[in-house]
Amino acid sequence: MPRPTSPSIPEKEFLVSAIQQSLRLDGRPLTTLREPQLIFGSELGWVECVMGKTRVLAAIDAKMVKPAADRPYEGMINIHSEISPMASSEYEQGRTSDEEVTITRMLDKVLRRSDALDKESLCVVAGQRVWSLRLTIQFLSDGGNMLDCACLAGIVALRHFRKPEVDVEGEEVTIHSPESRAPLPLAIHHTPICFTFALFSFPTTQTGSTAAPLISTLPSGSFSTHQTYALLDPDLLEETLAHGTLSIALNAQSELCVLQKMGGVPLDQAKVVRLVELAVEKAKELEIFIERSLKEDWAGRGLEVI
Amino acid sequence: MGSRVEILNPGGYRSDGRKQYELRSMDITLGSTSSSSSTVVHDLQNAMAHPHPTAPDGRAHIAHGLTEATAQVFGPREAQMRRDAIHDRANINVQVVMLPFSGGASSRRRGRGDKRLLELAAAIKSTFEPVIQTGLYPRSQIDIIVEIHQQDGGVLQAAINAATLALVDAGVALYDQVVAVSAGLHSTAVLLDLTHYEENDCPHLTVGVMPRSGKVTLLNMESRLHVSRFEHVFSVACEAAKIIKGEMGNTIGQRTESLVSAMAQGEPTYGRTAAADDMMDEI
Amino acid sequence: MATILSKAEKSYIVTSLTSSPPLRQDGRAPHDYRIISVITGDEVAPLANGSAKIRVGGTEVVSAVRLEVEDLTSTDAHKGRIRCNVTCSPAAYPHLNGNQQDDIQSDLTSILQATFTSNDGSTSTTPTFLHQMSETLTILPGRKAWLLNLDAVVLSDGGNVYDVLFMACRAALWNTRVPKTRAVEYRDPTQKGVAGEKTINNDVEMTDLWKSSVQTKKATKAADFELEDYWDHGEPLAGRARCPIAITLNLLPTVHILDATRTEEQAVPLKLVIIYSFSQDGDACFAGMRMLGPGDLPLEYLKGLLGEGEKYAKNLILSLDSQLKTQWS
Repeated sequence: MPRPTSPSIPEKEFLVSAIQQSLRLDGRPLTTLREPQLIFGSELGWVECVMGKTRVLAAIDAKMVKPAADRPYEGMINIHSEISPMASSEYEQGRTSDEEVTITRMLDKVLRRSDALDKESLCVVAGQRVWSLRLTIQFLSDGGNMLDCACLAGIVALRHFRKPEVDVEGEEVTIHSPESRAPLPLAIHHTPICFTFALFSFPTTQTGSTAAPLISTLPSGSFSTHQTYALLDPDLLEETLAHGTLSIALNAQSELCVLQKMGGVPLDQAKVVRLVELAVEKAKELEIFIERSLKEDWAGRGLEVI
Repeated sequence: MGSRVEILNPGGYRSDGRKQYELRSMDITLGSTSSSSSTVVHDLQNAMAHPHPTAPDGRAHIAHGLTEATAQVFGPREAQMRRDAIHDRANINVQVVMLPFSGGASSRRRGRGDKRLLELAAAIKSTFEPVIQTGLYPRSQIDIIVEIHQQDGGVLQAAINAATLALVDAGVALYDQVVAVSAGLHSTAVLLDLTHYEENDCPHLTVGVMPRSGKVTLLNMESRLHVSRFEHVFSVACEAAKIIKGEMGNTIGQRTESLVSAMAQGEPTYGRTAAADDMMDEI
Repeated sequence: MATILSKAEKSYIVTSLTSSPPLRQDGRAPHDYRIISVITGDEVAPLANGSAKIRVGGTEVVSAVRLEVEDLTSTDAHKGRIRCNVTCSPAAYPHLNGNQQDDIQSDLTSILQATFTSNDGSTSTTPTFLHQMSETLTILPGRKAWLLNLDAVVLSDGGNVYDVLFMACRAALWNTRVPKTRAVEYRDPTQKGVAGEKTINNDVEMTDLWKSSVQTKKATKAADFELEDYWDHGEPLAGRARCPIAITLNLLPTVHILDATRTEEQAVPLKLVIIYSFSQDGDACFAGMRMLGPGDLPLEYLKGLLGEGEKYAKNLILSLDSQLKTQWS
């Protein structure tokens, strides 16, 4: 496996000195998202999410299955996500990279384990027939922060999807085609949105030549004298050079669903709390954006909306 | 089990008789002796007298109540694969295994490729990467192997603490120790060091703290918790980490003392064979 | 396997072993074992039905038995089965990569599985270990039985892993208590008293055609079972004394050594693993054999070695059992 080419030293130095002046290479302030863009396909539950150069496609299909024996009243949801070489030449077919493990596990936690979806509403006949949803996430292009993009695409796809209406008479189950009866939306409890911060830490004491610590990939020391910068929604270069990440998934009702900071540069308690508060604000903004995009799409469809 | 067990009863006690902020009893063993065995003396003799070529450089066993984990550190040693060597610092490898009879919710077998184990390993790796003075060991490799012997809540916490202790035992240079602890919330009461049963019922988080600077290096939460409550739980957990750090510090101190006193005596006291063996080693 | 010993070291070890008297690095006689420490029961794995931890020098193996109920009507098995699995901690083989560790793991699993589960259509006159044991494992003949999961974990390998593995398995099986069960049958109350010795539900006024009654002895029409008592008050496995044990002979041209350390194993690559099983009266049965490593062995030596091995195995089993008996409360 070829090791991914690391950014050149001038690139690193340029980025680092920019961050120290609270500037980012694409001109954003440190705590601003790249403007997300949602593209809905002709089919229901087909959503492409674009954030800068990152593109992720989420698609849902549903089929009827027999429920698990120990959970006869619950439908199923499976998330398939595999990073193919399409996203970036860094990824290899059939080999699970660390990044893929992190993203898959996070998607599972954010979309499935946070109970965003009411699984019991997917039940048709208890113990006999339930809906099984399959959420396929395709990573089209890796422009950094694929996780947030994938979470956004996934949750919007779930909200966009409509399942066909079903009639049950005794043992007979009739599935109505979308033409004859308007399909129904899924029962979604809340909309968890994930925010990732890239963390950078630099020593504040600018004594002597600081070139050596600046270009090392990992900051070290007791960190007590370090100045930490948190960049919301990092792009690819920022992500590669980051000294650590913090992912916060929460909904517009200010409920934290997942918090994940796996090692990396340590943070003050107060800083963590500040970032969580920032995420709360951003979640509210993004929720409004999602609502608006979904509404616009429905208006354009001319279908009966329930 | 009959009726539902209360997480926190009106008297302020938890299902296992602890108070709200009480930690479970901790048992730490550094090095390759096992304290729970009735044949400690023999074990010690064995371990000292027959160091086999693949014995770990550092080993620590930690028990938080019924959750038990052992961490073993190999290295710093030459990188096995040349491509794994990094020219200016050490490469850190982490592997996590769960023993098949460790219990918990996951009694089913977990292979090497299991996503949960990989995630746990990735968390440990990225936690210790900035803490180990990797720059001192260029082109080398440090392996941390964590075995989960028993699970009763707080697996991540036990794994992190065991890894810290094993790194200390191996004499790997660290900037600071990482101490992890879990905390949860039951209605409005913060609970510390949750058991498996409590973890199922309460939103909970695990924090890893570097006690010297008081900064947070690891933070993991997978259940729903309102933001307004988060800060409280979080700060209590950070406070609790200091207590655990104290415990760990004591054990490390004792271990070092016993090593120093053994060195001061000049000759190991545990038997003739060992001394003879040492001589053999020198030849 | 990666070589971790230089040629000089190897030849140093081999020369001292073949000198007279033979010399070993740790001062043992060629046929001495290192100190064997045994821990059994809840201290090792509280969630298992039986468990043991054996430590011999730097080698440490934990073995645990878990019982689960298996519905025999849905599987091919017609009586209690045993399923073995060996896991190696990566710490036991830190110099090997993942695939090589998997190889060792499956090798150890296969030798254990072959020894413990083969000889179903046994021609031997005495009942084998497996036969006797599956009697204890039966819950309802032909319908339900315990599936015995024997899991062993090699925590560290300081040499002689086969012997320690079998010792740990023997100790864990010895330590196992099978929960007592009692068959529950639903039958016509008019037949009551014909076969039933004891009924719990002694409600004579009941006019229902069907009512539950409970039998203590074998019930052919039994539909289900219940646990008789708390799970830890079970009975030991029948025939546990016949549980096989392995002896590894490390072969040099003139001598063989027992319980080789990791270094000695590297220097003496030819190994003969012989597995014996002993009846209650101490008669040895041959349960399996494996030759490992490069090189060959003149056929005429083999018989002698088998006899020698039997002697060692008998001694080993005596001391192991005496230790197990003191720990068995």
